[in-house]
Amino acid sequence: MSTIDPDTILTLAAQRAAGMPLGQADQAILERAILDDPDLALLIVDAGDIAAQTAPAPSPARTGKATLAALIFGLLACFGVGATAGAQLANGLVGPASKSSLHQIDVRPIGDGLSLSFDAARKRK
Amino acid sequence: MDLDQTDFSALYAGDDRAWSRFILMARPVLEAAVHRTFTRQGLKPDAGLFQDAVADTFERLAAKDFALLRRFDPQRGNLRAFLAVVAGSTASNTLRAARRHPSGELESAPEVPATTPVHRSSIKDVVPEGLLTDREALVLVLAFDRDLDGPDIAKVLSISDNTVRVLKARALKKLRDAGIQPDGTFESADETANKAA
Repeated sequence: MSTIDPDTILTLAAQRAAGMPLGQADQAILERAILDDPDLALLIVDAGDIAAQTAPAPSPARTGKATLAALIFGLLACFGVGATAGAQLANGLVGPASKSSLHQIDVRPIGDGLSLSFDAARKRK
Repeated sequence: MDLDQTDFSALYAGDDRAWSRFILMARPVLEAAVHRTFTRQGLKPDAGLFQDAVADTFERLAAKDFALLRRFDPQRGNLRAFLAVVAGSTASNTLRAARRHPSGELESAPEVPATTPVHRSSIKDVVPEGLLTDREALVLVLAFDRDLDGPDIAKVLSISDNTVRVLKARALKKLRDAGIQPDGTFESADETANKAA
């Protein structure tokens, strides 16, 4: 049987299971210990399973945020498509009439606006 | 708060709240490991010793100013796997102690099934001394005595799958050359010697 302190062997097995690198001397001690007590190997293998089994699942809050973001993007996309389609539909319905519309609104630069109000004031005089 | 965010410096400084948080977060890992050990040994997970084993593990981790836990490096290892080994080993010790001093709790548990057939010898018992290197013997013991597959053996020994295959093939060849059947029906070294004579 190995004369190494059981706590040392346990520590090395735990470090191996945790994925921590072992030096050559420690590796030799661990291998000798496993040869003496092969159940140590089962502990190491089981530890990997247990670590995976007890690892935290993705946070529900994060999942919720992602779902909400997707929903918002979806709504925006639908709204955008809907608005465009609606605008096109409206244009189709009223389009022909609008070509001969008598009411046209010109948007002019602000300078023209100023000159217009200046002209209006002159007429009032 | 997650186990991976354990504040080890606060824990080692004796902060009670850090210790309480650690207990809360580590308990599921310890319970899973103790459960696995109990199940392997044919005991019901709700046996009375279950909580004792979990408590013993915490005690062991904190003993001598956290000497055992201090050997874990948060930068280089998986804390859950580290704790699982400590808990599994402690659970085995708890069960051994309970068997030495039987109480009602263990008597009510089902009989422990043998993990290997009684008639089958261990490889260590049948392979002549010096025939295999330690590593070759180890690979065969894990493969045949404990039924571990190549990737698991590779993980335990921290070597590649390919190295495991090479070691196993080399060891089996040595056994065949020595007249030992590597199929689980090993003859003892004495029987082999008698046949040779």
